[in-house]
Amino acid sequence: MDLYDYLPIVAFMIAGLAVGGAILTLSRIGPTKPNPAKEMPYESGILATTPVRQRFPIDFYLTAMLFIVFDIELAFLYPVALVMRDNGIPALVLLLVFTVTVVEALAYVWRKGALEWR
Amino acid sequence: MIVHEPFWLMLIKAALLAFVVITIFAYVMLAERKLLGRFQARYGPNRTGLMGLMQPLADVLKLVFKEDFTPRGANRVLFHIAPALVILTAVTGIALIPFGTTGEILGHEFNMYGTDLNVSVLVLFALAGIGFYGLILGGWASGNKYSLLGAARTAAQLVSYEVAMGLSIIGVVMISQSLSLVDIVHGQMTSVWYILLQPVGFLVFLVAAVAETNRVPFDLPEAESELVAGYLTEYAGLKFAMFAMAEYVNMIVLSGFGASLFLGGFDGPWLPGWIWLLLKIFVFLFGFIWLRATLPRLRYDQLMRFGWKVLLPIALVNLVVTAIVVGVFFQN
Repeated sequence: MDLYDYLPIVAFMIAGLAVGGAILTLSRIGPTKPNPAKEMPYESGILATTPVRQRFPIDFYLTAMLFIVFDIELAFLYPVALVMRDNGIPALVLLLVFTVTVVEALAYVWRKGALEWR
Repeated sequence: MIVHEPFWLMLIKAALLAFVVITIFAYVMLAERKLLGRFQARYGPNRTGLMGLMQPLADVLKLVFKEDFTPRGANRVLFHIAPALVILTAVTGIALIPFGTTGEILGHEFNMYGTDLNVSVLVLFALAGIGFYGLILGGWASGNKYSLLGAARTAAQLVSYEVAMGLSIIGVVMISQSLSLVDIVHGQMTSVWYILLQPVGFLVFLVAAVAETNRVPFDLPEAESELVAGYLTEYAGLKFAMFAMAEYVNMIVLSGFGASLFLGGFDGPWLPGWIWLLLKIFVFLFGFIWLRATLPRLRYDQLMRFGWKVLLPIALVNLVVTAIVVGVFFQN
């Protein structure tokens, strides 16, 4: 297993870029007749009066932060899971202790209401 | 087992597989419209060519000749790059789906997959993560409130369900002791398909997969009744089609991923392995379409609550139970 095995990923990226680039180029074929009304952002037919980028509900940020926490915990679980059958009980104890901290974190944010969508 | 291939062969394989998957995408879309028609007691498209089989071509031609304009408030560079980024990650994901071990054409041996890494599962997650950027950038760069809200919702939904999906796979990893999809399939050939050992993990994976591909009942990012079309609102013509294409390619890749993890991948009697994998992928895809025809859309707070308060705890319990059973009874 060496870096050579990752080379096909590059090949597929080239294929993906080719597909994406080809379609982007093709999308130039259609007519271009811009006019001010057409270029307005779509707001169900109403004239846009307020700026587009406004303040956001806090829930989105909370979710993003929770994701980072849980995803990192997840990343730590993979190596332990891989060696579970080789190491048996010690690995199991390790994983259970770690899972307890994950569950504790989940219970905490749950009690604090961070999982409620307002 | 692994054949060392020159780079040009990889490129040919990449081009071929991308072509095949995109063709499958075109016909899955047609099949979806036909099946949805049947589910609703009508015919679906049947006028273009024999039984409507030329419908994808007609759709593409129509989209090519649509005007493709950029809204005034848009960030022009990102607005154009975003759909290409989504396609790029979707097509790259194909590389990791194993259609078999090795094959032979005209005396040349080659691997029946793009590549088989010892971290394939993680690479797929990483690619999915980069793919999110495309959707979110597309919505943000449109300069439209609906798009921006759709993008924010997409981000929150995708990251929420990614955690559950990652956890649902750990059981399989424990049993197979590998993150390489080929090894996982081989593990299933020598024992049983992991759906029998990990039924709960499979269900969590299924639900998360539907959410990750923004399909009904989790298609909140493009909920027409509240957000027009979410991050797609300002996209027209072929760029609009690129997002649809990426969604379907992602569905196909995730189906192949799920089939390899839980349904034995290319394992099966009589027929060649790649046919088995394709059949299993089609079963998944039919499930996606069936769900779309059957279920109503969730509300956004229900979606988030379900992801964090139902799916995540179930996945955690499944993980702990699997760990205890594997760690105590199935040591090497």
